[in-house]
Amino acid sequence: MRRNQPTRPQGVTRREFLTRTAAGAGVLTASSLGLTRFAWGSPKPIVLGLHADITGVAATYGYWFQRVVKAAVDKVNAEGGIAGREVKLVVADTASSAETGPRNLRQLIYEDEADFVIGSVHSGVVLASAPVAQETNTFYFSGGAMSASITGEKASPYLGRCHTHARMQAQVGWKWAFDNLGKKWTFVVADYSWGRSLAQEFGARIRKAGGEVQVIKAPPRTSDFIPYLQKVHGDSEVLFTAFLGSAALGVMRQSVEIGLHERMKRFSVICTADGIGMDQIGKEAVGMHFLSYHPRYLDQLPEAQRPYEAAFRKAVGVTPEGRDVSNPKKVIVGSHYWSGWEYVGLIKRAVEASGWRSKKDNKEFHKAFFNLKVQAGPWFPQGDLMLREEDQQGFHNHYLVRVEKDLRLHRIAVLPKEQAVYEPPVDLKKYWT
Amino acid sequence: METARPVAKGGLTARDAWGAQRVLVWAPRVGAAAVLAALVTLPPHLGYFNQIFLSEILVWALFAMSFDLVYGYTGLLSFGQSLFFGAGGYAVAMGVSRMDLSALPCLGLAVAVGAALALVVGFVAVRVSGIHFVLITIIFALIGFLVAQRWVWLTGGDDGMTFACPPLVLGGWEVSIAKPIRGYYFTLAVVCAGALALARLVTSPLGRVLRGVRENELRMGLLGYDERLYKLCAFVVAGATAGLAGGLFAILSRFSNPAFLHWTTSGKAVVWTIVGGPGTLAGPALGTALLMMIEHLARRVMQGSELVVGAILIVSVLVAPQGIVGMWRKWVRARERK
Repeated sequence: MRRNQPTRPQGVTRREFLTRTAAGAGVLTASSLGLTRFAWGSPKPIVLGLHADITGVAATYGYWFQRVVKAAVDKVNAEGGIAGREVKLVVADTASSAETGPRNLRQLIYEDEADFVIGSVHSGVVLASAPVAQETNTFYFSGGAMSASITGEKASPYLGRCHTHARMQAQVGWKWAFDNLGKKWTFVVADYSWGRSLAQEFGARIRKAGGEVQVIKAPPRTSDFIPYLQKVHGDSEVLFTAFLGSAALGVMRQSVEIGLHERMKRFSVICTADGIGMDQIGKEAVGMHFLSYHPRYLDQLPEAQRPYEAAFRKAVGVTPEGRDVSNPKKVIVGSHYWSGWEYVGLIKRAVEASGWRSKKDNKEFHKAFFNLKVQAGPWFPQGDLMLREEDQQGFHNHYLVRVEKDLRLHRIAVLPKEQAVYEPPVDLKKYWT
Repeated sequence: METARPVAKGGLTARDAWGAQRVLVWAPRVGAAAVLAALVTLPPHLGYFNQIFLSEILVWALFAMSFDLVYGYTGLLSFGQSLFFGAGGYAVAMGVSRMDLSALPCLGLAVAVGAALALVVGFVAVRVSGIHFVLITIIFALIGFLVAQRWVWLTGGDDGMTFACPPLVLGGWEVSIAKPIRGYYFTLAVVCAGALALARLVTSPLGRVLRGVRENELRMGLLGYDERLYKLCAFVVAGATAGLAGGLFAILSRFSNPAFLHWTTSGKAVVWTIVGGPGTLAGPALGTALLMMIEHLARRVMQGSELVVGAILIVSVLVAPQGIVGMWRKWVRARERK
């Protein structure tokens, strides 16, 4: 009778559930072993530290560096890691502070056991981190910091930089600006080391070439620039400004308000507008010239580099117009963040070339890394790059861009990396031999 | 046969009350001894990072105690401590890189620079009180910050100064303090010496005069005390202590930077002291340790760890306006009255 037959449960029996679960787990485990490149028993991962400015004044940069370095680590792992070793990314916040930064860097190195660190965009944090890098024998790569002294007077054996800085910008950019914009320059710059060093580096070269230089310094957070702009000599041909954040917008707008844009060419470095949409500045930006370190828009790159740049942007989640795919209001810090991507590619090459296995092999790594000469490619969307062993500094192409009426940055010249080279101010090779 | 025990007010026997009082009097001393024993014995078993982090906490605790001497004991809200802290750091940086001094002479230089600057600032500042005193100390700190930023030839400007760790030389004996554990014990010894000196000062007749100035400046004046001189004295000692803390921090980090001179660095000492308990010396040390650890842990798991510190400050001010140690003392006194 139906009533006396054992009843069949509506779903599955306990035995079936356990059997299926075990079988499923087995299949998943087996498939994951096949799919992931770094199975159980693989060599110890290489730990890459990211010392990012997640909070504080440089938080915009920290946001983008996290995005870029994470994408680069995903890419390198998908391609088999570095020398067959998985790369593990660990992140610490610098808080954009010379006090908190070194403390969190120590945690990154001592506790999280970072083998290499991609560092801050904040020069003060980078320089404060140098003693930590040296005490822990850990290479620390500047993530966009612009102080010339990092690879100059205050160079340290464990500090390296693949990107531009104030001295290089002057070296590569002054001649074009001198020939094309004018011979009489007025610098209105933020009265701290970055602004002062730009005025000093550009100014020295312009004076040497027979030009005239006037320097006006204003506090970094100035909101009313009129008293400073009124001091600009009437016969000046070039107005060079260097401020960050709202002060950068202020000086651009107020120079238009008092009509300076009609009498002289306006010039700056892209640091003053990186991460800011030209539409946010408005028509006052029209006519501004910027020295750029990597074009914001995909179509402004040299054609040969575009496929690499497109792949880089796709991995990071950036539109061809230089905005965040998930939040188009966010503009990339395109002239800075590429170094985070390229450092991963450079570390991969140097580790594989030198046979680096641990910090005991740092000498071989150093030799390999700081003698790299790479060409534009998937790991190097910014273009060709060469590193110099003496001061552990990299050299790359720069770009001259101009804001046109469509409120876009248009490339008007490419300045080759050879033009950016200057005499090495220090020789760190002695430390490593 | 059991005899009846005398019963004190509140249901406690006299022996119970005496016992409770004894426990309450001795508890802090036992606690301090236990903390010191832990600070001496535990660090070798901790990792390098924790050894260095503990060293930093000790240094900032000394800085907070220096602030407490002027605020908690003398009643002067000074935002100028950062000037002496940062100057102490530069004194060490210059002592090492330009004069090739070892650790102790460098710290001596940091103390002297801190005291000298405090004498100059204090000479002006103690002539006013209240908000005007606060403003003057902020202005001096800002001047120091701007000077450190602009005198690039002397201070390295915004880039600051980096230098090698100086050795510790005692007689003919020289030892490196670059290793985290050695640096830690060196820091512990110097901070303990500084804290003991401050403790001796606040329990001395001078300390009682300072508290008198804090409670009623006019009455102290009428009693014949030159209150300005006593305030200046407290300010100079606090400046010297802040200079010592700044010098120690520079030795630990091998770095000095204008940011440490900015008055907002003093703001940290204000927060740590208020949370820990002003006018207690132990309070600022406790507040520093607690807040630095909380902030550090918060930063590991979330962005905006400053919000956590802000929330703690608000709760602390509302629940325990006298700070943690102050609240504990209040509780002790309430028990004693019972």
